[in-house]
Amino acid sequence: MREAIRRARNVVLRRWERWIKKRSPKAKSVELDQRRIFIFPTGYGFFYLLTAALLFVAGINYENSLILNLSFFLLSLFLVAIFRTFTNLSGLTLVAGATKEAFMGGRAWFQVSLERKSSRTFESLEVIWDDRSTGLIDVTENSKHSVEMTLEAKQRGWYEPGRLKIQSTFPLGLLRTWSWVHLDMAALVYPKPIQCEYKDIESDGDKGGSLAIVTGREEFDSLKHYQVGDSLRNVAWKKYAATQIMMTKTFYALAGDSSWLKWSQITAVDCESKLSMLCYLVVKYTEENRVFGLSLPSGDITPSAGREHELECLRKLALFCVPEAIE
Amino acid sequence: MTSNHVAEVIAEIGNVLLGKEEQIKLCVACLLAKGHLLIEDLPGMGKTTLAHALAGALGLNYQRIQFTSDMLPSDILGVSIFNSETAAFEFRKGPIFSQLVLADEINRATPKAQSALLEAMEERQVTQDGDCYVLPAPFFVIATQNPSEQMGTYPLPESQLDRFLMRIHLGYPDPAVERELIVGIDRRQLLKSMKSVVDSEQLAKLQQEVASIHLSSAVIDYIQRLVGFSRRESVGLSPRGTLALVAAAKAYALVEGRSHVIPEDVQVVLGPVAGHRVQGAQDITGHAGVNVVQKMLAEVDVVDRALL
Amino acid sequence: MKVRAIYPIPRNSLVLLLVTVLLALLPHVGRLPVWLPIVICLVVGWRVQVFRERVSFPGKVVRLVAVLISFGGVFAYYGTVLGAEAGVALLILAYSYKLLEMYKERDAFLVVILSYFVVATNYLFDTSLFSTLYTLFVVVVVTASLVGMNQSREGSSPFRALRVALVLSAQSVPLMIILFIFVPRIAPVWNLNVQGGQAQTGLSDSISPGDISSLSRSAELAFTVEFKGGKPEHKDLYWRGVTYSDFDGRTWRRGLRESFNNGVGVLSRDLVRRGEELRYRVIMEPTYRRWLFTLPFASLKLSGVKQVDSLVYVRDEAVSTLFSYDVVSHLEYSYQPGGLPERERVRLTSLPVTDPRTTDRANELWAAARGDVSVYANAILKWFNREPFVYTLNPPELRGDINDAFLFDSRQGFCAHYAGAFVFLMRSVGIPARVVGGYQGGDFHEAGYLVVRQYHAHAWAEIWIESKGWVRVDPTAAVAPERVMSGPEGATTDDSFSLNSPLSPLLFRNIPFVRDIRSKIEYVNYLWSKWVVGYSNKTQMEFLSRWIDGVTPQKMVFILLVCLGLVMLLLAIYILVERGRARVDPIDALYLSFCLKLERQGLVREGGEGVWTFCARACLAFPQLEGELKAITSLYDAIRYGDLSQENKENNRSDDATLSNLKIELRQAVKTLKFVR
Repeated sequence: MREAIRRARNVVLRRWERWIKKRSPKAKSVELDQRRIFIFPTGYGFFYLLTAALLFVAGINYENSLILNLSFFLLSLFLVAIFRTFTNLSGLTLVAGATKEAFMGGRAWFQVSLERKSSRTFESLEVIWDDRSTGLIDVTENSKHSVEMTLEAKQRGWYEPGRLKIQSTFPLGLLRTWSWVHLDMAALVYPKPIQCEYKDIESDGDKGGSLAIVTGREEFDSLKHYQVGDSLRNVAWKKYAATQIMMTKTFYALAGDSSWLKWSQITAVDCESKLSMLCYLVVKYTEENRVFGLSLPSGDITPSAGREHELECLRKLALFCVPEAIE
Repeated sequence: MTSNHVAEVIAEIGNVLLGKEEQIKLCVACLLAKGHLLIEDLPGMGKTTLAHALAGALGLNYQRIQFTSDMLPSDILGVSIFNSETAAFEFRKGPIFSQLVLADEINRATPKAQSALLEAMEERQVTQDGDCYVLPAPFFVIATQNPSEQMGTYPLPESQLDRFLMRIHLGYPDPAVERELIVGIDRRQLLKSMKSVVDSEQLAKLQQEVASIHLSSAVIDYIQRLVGFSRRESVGLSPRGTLALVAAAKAYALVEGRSHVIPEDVQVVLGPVAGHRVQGAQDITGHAGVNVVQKMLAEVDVVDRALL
Repeated sequence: MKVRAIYPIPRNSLVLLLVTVLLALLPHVGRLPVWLPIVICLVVGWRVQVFRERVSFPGKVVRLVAVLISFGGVFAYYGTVLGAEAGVALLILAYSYKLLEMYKERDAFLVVILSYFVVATNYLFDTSLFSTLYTLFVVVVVTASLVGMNQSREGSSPFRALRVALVLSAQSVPLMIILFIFVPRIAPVWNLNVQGGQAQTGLSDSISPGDISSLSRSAELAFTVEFKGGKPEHKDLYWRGVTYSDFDGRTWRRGLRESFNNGVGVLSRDLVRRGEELRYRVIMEPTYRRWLFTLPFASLKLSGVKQVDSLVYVRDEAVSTLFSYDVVSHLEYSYQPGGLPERERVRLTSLPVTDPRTTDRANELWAAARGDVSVYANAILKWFNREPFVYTLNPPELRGDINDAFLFDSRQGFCAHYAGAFVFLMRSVGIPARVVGGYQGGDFHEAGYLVVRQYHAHAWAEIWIESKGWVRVDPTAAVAPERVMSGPEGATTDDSFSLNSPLSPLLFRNIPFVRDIRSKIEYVNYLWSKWVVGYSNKTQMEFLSRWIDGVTPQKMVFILLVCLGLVMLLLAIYILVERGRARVDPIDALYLSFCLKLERQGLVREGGEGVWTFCARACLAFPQLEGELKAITSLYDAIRYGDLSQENKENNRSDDATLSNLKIELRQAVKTLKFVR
């Protein structure tokens, strides 16, 4: 029995999903129109109508035209509010904005821009995403207003936040108009870093490598002015003794000195843990300013260092074995 | 009062360089906006005279660097030489240490020498052997480029062109002006007798004043519409380009003696500012860029009829 | 909703809400016990202090005690909690106490809803045009506070909320009017009428000297009459309301044993109607009494209204709202000419044994008349006329036997005195007679209807004469004929017809301008009473049948839906389409119209042409207009590009003023630009 109810619910939910998907397909930018906008009285709205009905009864009972008239006024106001509430959403354009990547379990950051294209203004809008509301937003003075939201990154790879709900009860709070919008945006989610030990495999000692990487540790490159934060180990003390000027020695490393982070060298049972460990290592190596390469079954990244290299590695890890990866 | 200064400067230069008032104004605006100027023209069109006259009228010291293919960065920036008396290296400042630098035929030099100049232009300082030498202020570079000669040149790459606030052409003089040139006295003689109208302090003040020129939202809208149009038409104006446009328009408004920017200011500076930015730098003739600019000017309405 | 409920009320909307509460309560203040407004002020003051974060909300115990005490106070004052006035007082108390526990949006919403109710209860007591306009204003403010509750924190501003509410209200007015006109009025099937306790106005159940005089000075409206067709003469305007047939020596009372005839049966046998019929409608102000006023002989068919044997009409319920009824009257009629039923005759000739002097005089005169009733009546009237009887609104108090005291000692009195004495004299000799109370006369308004005021109240006598039936005799006319001809102010032979209201229409009645304005206001009030306040089932039918043949409720609903649909469609078009239209900045629009002017002269501004470039070109084309063209361009330049432009937030007032001056100049310059060929 319970099983049957569950199944029926699933069927309904799937149907609903399908229907809403058809109504609001994924897009980079969505202009809300009558096909997407829903409107229904709020609890207050029903209460208000009840008030109007009570006044009507009172007006009839006391044969008092003016009380009747007040009830008619309330009803008319409600009717007008239907239009006005509807226009508070209709014509609004939602545009997918920037995203920021996150580690799994962290919070990915999304930005959506609410834009108006005409003189019509939008007041007291509320964007709800994953049961989190933004509070009331006005798109009145400027032509756009961006909304930022952090959502929990639940899965590795491209994380799509799914449909967001935008709603408003302006101006009277008697009716709520809302719309589901599926914006085509995704944030990259890296594997969750898991601490682990890793035995460096020094590469084949190909010292003749030609790739010079700044901020390596091996070969002296040049002197630059000392900045607070530079390692004291690198200060050119001889120069300082001679000139009283603090200079920092900069080095470059050659690719040949690099180590490799290899998929096969990680000892973990499942694929996700391996990725997580590699993720940890990538972050750690970058912090230590080391030169490293990444070798995955899906391909290698040649050794390098620095922030950009780290991002590239993380991206590779994030998208590892993700079937519908959007490259 | 300040606008008087500007007008005097322009008049003074106009005495020397005949019939080029528009270019002189642009040139002064470029200087007031603290940008650098690239003049693309054939030899003998008065580039040097312009630079000279500018230096004279503004009381700036002036250096000319003739770029050649065997030029080294140190020829521009300066060189450290060992002074045996003091037993220390001593930095000899190069020609770039000057308030107004005319970099003639910049496309003849190797990229190495070019980038030495351009980096100094951007940073307004020279770093040599870990020592830092600040360039004088104001610092203004007028670079020239000969578009017709392509043999053995190194055209400035796109990213470098961006460092020049404006690129202008001087063009041939009018027949009447040319006649005056033939009949009148030697302009170069006049250069020597030029008196400076403003000193560098006043010039700095003028430069500050550019920032206080009012830019109304109507004009900002217009600029945004222009920029949006350029982005739809081609590789559009970058945000840096937009800022450059705003700065140039403000400076031009000051040159015209106004306290606020009007769309005409934007229109005048749009060609010089955007011409070399909207299309790839490879197109040394600059025609494609100029075409886009002309289209922008013609099609983007000054008065906003569209949605408010 | 779940998410919203936790939001507290925005401060700005709270201000609006508190103002709303005060505005909604204001018209009630006069009707409440004196202490209640003080309580309201305290409560509102407390809430304001909470708002200013000076004190906190009162505790539960304090609230409970305050509520109990004040509810007790209401009960003590009215003696009930069920009457309309007590009910309203309770509602108002609850309404103001709600303020003290208004924490969240939900509470604020409740206050808004209660505000609508408080406004509605005001209509129970006051339906005048002025008060309705005021309540409309209150309703807009109430709506504004509803808007305020839904504004975002940054965007919240009471003035903007008011503007939105005003626009919404304006847009709903057409719908409201259609609903008002076309929603079929149903008579109440149930009746929960809890009226009562209101001060009754107009004539009372009994007349004893002094009563009517207090009435006569009031210029309040009693009823208005609209005649369809011919108008009667002033002397025929005897509006019968009550018949007083029982006398106890001091006071004339309504017959308690009055029986109701069931209309047709009695009438057809005893009634003869002659002459032309007179059709009219009476629109009666609430009197909180049951009788209606008609000209004799009146036929009136209305459910809930019955006719008494003495031919006056009595309604089942008191007239508590504006009430209108249609009457057909025959001014010439004779009633019961054939004879009275014995029981009736006995009742209408019975007298207490008092006033010996009067009885003696009656017998004297009756003997002189030799049994002729008409001669006898005339003799009495002649007596009133010849002897120094005075018509005054301030008669001295009468002690002892009132008729003796009046007829032989004071000889000063008004209608009630004369009518009472006359009937007494009649009955003393066995002639059936009764005192009739009602109104006499009325003022014809320019617009054609008759206004009857409280000072038109009058009492007269009716006597029964064999073979003639009931005959009206107005003894007052014998003393002061002007009372019948022109109304009370001309009739008093002293200056007792004084004013007790500074706004009385009798004040300044000789200044034409004031009279004119007054008559206009009266006319508007009359229309308001007739068409809005009195818009009942009957009025609705009458109004609609002007345009529609055979009005039925079905037809009405159909038309209602069609009209509603049409107006909704128009509104939809207006709201959905118009508001989304692109709007050009007004200054730009002005400049574009300037360009259009030049375009008609063949000079077209290119799209990318700056205003000064265009100006230069235009000056070349129209050198004679150079000054104007440059002026317009530089004005536009200054407004749009200059540093006075609107977007400068730190603009001071003088800059604003300059800017608006420039705008005006530009508008005029563009308007006056003329091309002379």
